[in-house]
Amino acid sequence: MSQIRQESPEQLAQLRTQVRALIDGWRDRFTPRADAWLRGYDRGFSQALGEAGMLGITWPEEVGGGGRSNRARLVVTEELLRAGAPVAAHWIADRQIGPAILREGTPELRQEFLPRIAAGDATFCLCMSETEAGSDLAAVRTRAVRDGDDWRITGTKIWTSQAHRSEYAYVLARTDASGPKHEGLTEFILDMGSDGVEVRPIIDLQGEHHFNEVVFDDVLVPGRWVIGEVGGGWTQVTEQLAFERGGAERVLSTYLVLEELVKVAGRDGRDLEAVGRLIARLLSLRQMLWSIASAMDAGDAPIRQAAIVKRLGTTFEQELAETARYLLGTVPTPLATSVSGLLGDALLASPGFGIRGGTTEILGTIIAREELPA
Amino acid sequence: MRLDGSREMLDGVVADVLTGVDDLEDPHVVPPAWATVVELDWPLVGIPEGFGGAGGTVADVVALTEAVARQAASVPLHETQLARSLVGMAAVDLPASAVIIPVDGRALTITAGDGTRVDGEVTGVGWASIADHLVVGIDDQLLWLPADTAGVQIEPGVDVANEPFDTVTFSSAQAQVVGDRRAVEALRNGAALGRAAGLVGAAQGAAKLTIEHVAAREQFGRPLAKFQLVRAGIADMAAELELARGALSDAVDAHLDDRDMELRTGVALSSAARTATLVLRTSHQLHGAIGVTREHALHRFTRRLWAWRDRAGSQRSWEGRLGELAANGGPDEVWRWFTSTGDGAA
Repeated sequence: MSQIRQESPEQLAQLRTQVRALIDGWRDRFTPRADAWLRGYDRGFSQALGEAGMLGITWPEEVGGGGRSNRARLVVTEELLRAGAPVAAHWIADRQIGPAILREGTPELRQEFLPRIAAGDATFCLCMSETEAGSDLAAVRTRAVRDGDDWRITGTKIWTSQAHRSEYAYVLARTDASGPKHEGLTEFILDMGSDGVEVRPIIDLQGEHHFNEVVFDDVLVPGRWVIGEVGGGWTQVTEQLAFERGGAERVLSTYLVLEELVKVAGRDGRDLEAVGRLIARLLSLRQMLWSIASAMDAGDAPIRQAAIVKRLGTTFEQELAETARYLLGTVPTPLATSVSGLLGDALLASPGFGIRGGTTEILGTIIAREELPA
Repeated sequence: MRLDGSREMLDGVVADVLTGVDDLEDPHVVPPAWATVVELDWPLVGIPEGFGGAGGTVADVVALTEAVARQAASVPLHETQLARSLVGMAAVDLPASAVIIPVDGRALTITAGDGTRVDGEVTGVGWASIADHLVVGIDDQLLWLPADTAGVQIEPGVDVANEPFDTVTFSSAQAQVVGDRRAVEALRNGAALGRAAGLVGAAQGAAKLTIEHVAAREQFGRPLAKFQLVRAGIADMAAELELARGALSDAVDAHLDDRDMELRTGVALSSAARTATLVLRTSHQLHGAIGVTREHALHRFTRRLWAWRDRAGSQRSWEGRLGELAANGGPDEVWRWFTSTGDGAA
């Protein structure tokens, strides 16, 4: 994927117009909300995006992709996030599982899954974390053992968003326990409808159900559903996480609140410095998002920049919600189509921002390692 | 002149030229290094050759300003480049060695009649005490006058970096109109862009010293760099610096393309000032007691960071202006800014 993708400003502007038109056609069918990429679920909307060629947009056309740039993907994702549109059904697959299959999978595996993901038809959840493997992901204990040409997976995953609605899971499992913990890991695709899969809901502090605990009891996985190298899972997953981190959802999860602040500032002319400070932060972060997308288009893997944008972006999202609370003097209320409801939604979602996808602390470790090599 | 080569090469050249000028013995005489800076044509960078300049763009000006600040050097280089570029456009030809200083004249008044005359007082003008010429932006007129014009009085002062920080009083001082409102805006935006570049450069200098210090200094039998809380501080500085450099490069693109200049300049200034604040706190904390000595080099950077955050319009005034632009523009305009940030660099 080292080819540099050309994409003119006009092409990108046209794409942006298309995304907005599609969203506008759906506005009466969803309630805009904070953190919609994890919580707003509508398969019909995801399929409409797939139909319009907005999913798998960076993947080659022969696997159902759009053959376009990462900057084009940024255009699509930031418009969806601004709208607070229900994108959770496809978000994880489009962002990281599809790209992992594209990078590491066999040609057969790509053909089997990528066209269906790009159509919004195949939905995925992400089974990485376990109770004893959070930030220390290499400590996963879920086991995969050979069964002829196939595999049998046994273990328990946790914090799996939307597992109860997904057809497939990406699973990181241990295929060899004899060596160091970073070796002997393998990535699999698993059918969530298989015998031996149990999904137990975990209700989050908002009272919502998106998290789950997922138990695998001797679940059969076809041999062809290994992603990449058996035993090469750690290297592959590290790369996958780098891609996961550098996107617009790390900056825009609470954007609806900023728009309210801007409207209030326009009405009252108050607190302009605080609003301006947020705007400066927001635009600086967009510069990094664009720079990351451009680097990926040039064939680079901007791991350091992606870690920085996630660390600073999620801190900004939290700062934004807190600043809004302070400036508006509003008591946050549960999700409702009002300023206080948007604020409540943003505040209650905010603790997750600095945890999922690599905690702020882990990202700091990665950034410091670049500055102070051992 | 285009500044070719890597950042390291530029730093090497700047270090050679500006070694030992970090602490001005007397801040109110022309720094000894100025003659060398003039010989290298640096004050002419960013000015088209057709206007008596050395060529290059605002990108070269910013790169040079950042590099000078990374050496913690004190020379009125960016100030002169900016003011010269504005009078140069009016075909005013000043000697290459002249120190030309921009003045934000919001507090001044103009009387037309017997020529154009200026009245009032401006405090906190950098380098006015060694200026040969002043370029003053008032409302919609850009004015030029020699610093020794009758009716101009300059009271020398210093800021915490020991750089000239002077009060200029105008009493019916005669000046020549050399530009319109656009030139006045260019003066203000240019000054803030240079300030942002200086802040980023000085913050990089302080962060570099800090990394060297924590790698070398041992306590409890191991280098400070082995402690997680110390590493967290290093990560914070690196992340903020990356963000501020990005905002600065986006502002440079805006200046090159002449679009959303005030907005992008404000974003760069706010980001740089915020980064400076974090780097100030963290670099001193991680240096421990050695960092607060005159002997250690850290203060060369941190005193500049303290002095510079509010020098080209305060951080607060720039952030207030950004808020005002957002309030007037509304959410759709803010979104247009967001979605057009960075793409100049593509």
